Amino acid sequence: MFRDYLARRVLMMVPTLLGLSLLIFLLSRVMPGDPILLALGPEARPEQVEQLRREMGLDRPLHVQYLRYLQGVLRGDFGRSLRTHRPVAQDLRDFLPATVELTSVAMLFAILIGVPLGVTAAVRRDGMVDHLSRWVALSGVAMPQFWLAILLQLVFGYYLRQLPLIGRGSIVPARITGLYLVDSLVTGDLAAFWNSLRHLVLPAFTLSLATAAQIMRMTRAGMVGQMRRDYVLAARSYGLPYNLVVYRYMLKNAITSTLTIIGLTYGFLLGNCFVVETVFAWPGIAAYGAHAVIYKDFNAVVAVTLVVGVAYAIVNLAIDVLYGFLDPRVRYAPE
Amino acid sequence: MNSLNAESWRRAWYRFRRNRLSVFGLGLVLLVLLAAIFAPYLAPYPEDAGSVVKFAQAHRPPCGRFWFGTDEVGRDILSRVIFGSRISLALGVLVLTIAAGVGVPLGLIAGYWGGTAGAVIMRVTDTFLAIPPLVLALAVSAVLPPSFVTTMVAIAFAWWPWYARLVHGEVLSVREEQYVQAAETVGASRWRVAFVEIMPNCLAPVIVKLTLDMGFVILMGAVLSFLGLGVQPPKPAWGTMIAEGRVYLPANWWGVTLPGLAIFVTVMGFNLLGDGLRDVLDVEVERWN
Repeated sequence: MFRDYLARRVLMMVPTLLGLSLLIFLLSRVMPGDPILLALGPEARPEQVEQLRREMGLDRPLHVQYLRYLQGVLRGDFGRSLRTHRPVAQDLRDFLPATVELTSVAMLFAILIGVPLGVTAAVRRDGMVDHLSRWVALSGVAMPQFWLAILLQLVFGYYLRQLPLIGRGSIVPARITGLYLVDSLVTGDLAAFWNSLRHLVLPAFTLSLATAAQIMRMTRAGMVGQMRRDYVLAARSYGLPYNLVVYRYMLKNAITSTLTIIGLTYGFLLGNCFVVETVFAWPGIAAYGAHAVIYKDFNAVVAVTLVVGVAYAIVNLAIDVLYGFLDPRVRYAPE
Repeated sequence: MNSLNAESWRRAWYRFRRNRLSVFGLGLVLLVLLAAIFAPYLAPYPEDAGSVVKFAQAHRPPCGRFWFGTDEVGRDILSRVIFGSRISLALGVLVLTIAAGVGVPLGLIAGYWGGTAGAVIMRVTDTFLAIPPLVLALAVSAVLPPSFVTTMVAIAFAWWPWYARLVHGEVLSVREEQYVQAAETVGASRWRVAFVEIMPNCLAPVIVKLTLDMGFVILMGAVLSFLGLGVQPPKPAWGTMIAEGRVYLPANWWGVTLPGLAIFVTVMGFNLLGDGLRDVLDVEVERWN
């Protein structure tokens, strides 16, 4: 049963991703201003332009171009970057781990901040934590992340001189996964681990705040909804410790709405990555993508957009699977 | 009918007013709105909104003469922040007009017509929603030269599907209502049923979403102009001002902090107002039914 559910969810991803690839492809072909001219410069002779156009297949009909491009993407070929002059796929391989590390740690921060605060706010309604969390939630969503990033740099990096301002750190562990935290732990390189962690704190915290705010709101709402249920009353009248009832029984039932919001806000987290990585000079694909957009480096823009779309889809798939795992009603529901 | 409407408006206002946060939000929004309308009269140095050079007074920290300090060419930052509110509000209004103008009819058609057309519309909508809006807006910005219009087009391009989906869901929930069936029975055309009977009954959530989205669109516009893809200097867009001020950190803290505060306050205002409207309208919707 669970396998059917899983298979159905994976299959549902295919048309969406195909549609996405078509959308991005079309977007890249309506660009005013010729990408060939842009690549060759204004000095290029007409026959040179014509030759490169044929080489890149831009003289073919649009649907043929799309199919060839799709074939390339499936082989992992995204073309060359006009800015770094390397295959885009190679750039992605180099920059992707930094982004995976940053977004994962940011999401972890968001959950670690959002869930306990949301639970406490619900349990002690109208208490101090509840009021505080309401303001944190409001500011977390309304604050421009690039502004927060700069302010944090200013305070922790400059005034207090406690944390590094930019980058991933100079002590690089031996590359296994490309995730510095994981690699340094696996190789037992504690200096690299500590250094990477210190570099991660500010960007990850900046990135996590908006998501933490949403998670807090949803957790609070979910917990408040559980408060007056009969099973809570029953558990308490058996004399079970309150914390056990809250964290073991109520949170388990409330967490599904938290999961939903994690999936939804993951997209915004990925989007915000583009600003946070830029401000902190974090060498990930989002900063790479932001540069590509500024330099009109088309192959790179298309590739980064696709990678982000796929990552978004995969995370939401994972959330749905988890959802089905936690709540059997979801698994058996007909589509 | 009219007296009943006036009465329900009064009740709605009463309920809205009881939540102090909503009133605070409304106040912030009015503040920004007034700043935008009366910018030439409120700004101490209106000419500083453009490209003026007064090197003699560059890099001044906040003081009695320049409340928000001055920037690298001696322009008064407060004046620029006040004029910047015009750019932000205009962007929000234009983007949401386009987004709702495209999304609402598509959602109506998809929900009420159904069939192949509806299925196609919703598939396209899902495709657009498969990518985070900021990323899609960035991709569009890459296609066009940096400007206010580019930012507007890019954000609207990423934003309309949310309205299509919202309205689609609303239509599905009211499609079987008696007043819709009544209109169909007396032979009203599909267009009339969709736009005259159904649409007004889907508008409450759209209005709430529009209010909340004003803040988020302004935020996204600031991001694009911060990255150098939107409004170009010397125009005083808040995001652009922060990008310019960032060069002179850490010495000139005011160049970044104060324009950012303007964004923060504006977005916060629209969020609080939207939350308040949601509380009020949700109840109203039930009562009207």
